[in-house]
Amino acid sequence: MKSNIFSEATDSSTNDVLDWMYFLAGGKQLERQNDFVIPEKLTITITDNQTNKVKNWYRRGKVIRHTKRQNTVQNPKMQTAWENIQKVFMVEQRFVEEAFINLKFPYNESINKPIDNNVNKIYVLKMAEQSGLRIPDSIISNNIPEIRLFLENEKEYIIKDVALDPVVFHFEDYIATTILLPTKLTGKEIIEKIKDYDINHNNGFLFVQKYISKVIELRIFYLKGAFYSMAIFSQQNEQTKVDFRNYDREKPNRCIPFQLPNEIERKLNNLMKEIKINCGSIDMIYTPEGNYVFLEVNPIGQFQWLSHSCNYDIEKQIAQFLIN
Amino acid sequence: MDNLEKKKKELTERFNMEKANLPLSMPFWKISIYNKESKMNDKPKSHSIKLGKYKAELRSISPFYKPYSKIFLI
Repeated sequence: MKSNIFSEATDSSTNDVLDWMYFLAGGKQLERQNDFVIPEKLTITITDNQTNKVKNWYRRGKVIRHTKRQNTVQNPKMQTAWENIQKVFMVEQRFVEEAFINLKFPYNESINKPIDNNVNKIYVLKMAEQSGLRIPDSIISNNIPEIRLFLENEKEYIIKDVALDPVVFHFEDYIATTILLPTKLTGKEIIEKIKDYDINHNNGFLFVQKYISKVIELRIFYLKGAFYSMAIFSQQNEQTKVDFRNYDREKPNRCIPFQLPNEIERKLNNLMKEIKINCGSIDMIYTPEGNYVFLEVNPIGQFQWLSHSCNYDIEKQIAQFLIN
Repeated sequence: MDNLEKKKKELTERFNMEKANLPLSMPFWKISIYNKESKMNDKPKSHSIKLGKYKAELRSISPFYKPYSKIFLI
């Protein structure tokens, strides 16, 4: 059995898994690629009784595509025709490349796939609710009156991003960055901040979730039906109270292994199957009322922290899957 | 107020003036300003070590950690 790993050169979790693969199988039949490059010359063969003798792990890294073509037209009169032909045929190229990725990473024979990177938080939240998990009441809208209707003055909410990375740009002689970090505000404060917007404003969305008090936060690593859960005591520290990812490096949160109830594991398993992601980091919270509330899934999140804090053998399990 | 704080305030005011053209989430953004030079100096200096096997690199190394490249030597 051959194993392929697609990652980034400096991803230390990949190196830990490679350590295990080397230890368990001497690193035989193993190929690591940094970034996933779709071959320029691409062939997909579909026949009866094909057996897959390769196991793939998409850990992280760019997907290098070939959806750009050089302008090689000789006659300027053909320019428009060339451009329109290319536009249409790029759609075909994209379709074939998508099929190539999906076939290269079959659900049962692979861990993650490049398109897991595009997991949609909104869709996942709805699927979590349909799987029977509790979720915070949420609204995603660019309609200001609808947002105002959702908010209650004295209640607390979290403002989140839907899918935004930090923006970095030059500002005169300086470098500026903007980022939307999860922020806790009352309904009144949110309304105050958006009050100057015209109600017909049609640029960007607001993702608002009802704030839920928590006793502990849970980070759960899911690997093909197995759960590796960790409780994070983030509530005694003001910096990490709203979101443990506002890490306090000086005084880190206490993290211990945690056993989820069977019923919650079953629901999470259903959710992961529904969204067709076989590996990922799940964020949940445990409330003072004893409820487990689902927040989100990150398919390519770091698991080293969880594995080391709880003495789990996640890296070994990944290695064993890839070599068996 | 130091220079960076002044610039941050100025940028926030400009964003507020351009509100109509900016996303609805703008009032919730965390804005940070850096000197270009200090930002360049902040960049971690490259101490990565190429392990020589499996196209792997380590950014920093723990003295008690034996990467597989060393196991191979044993």
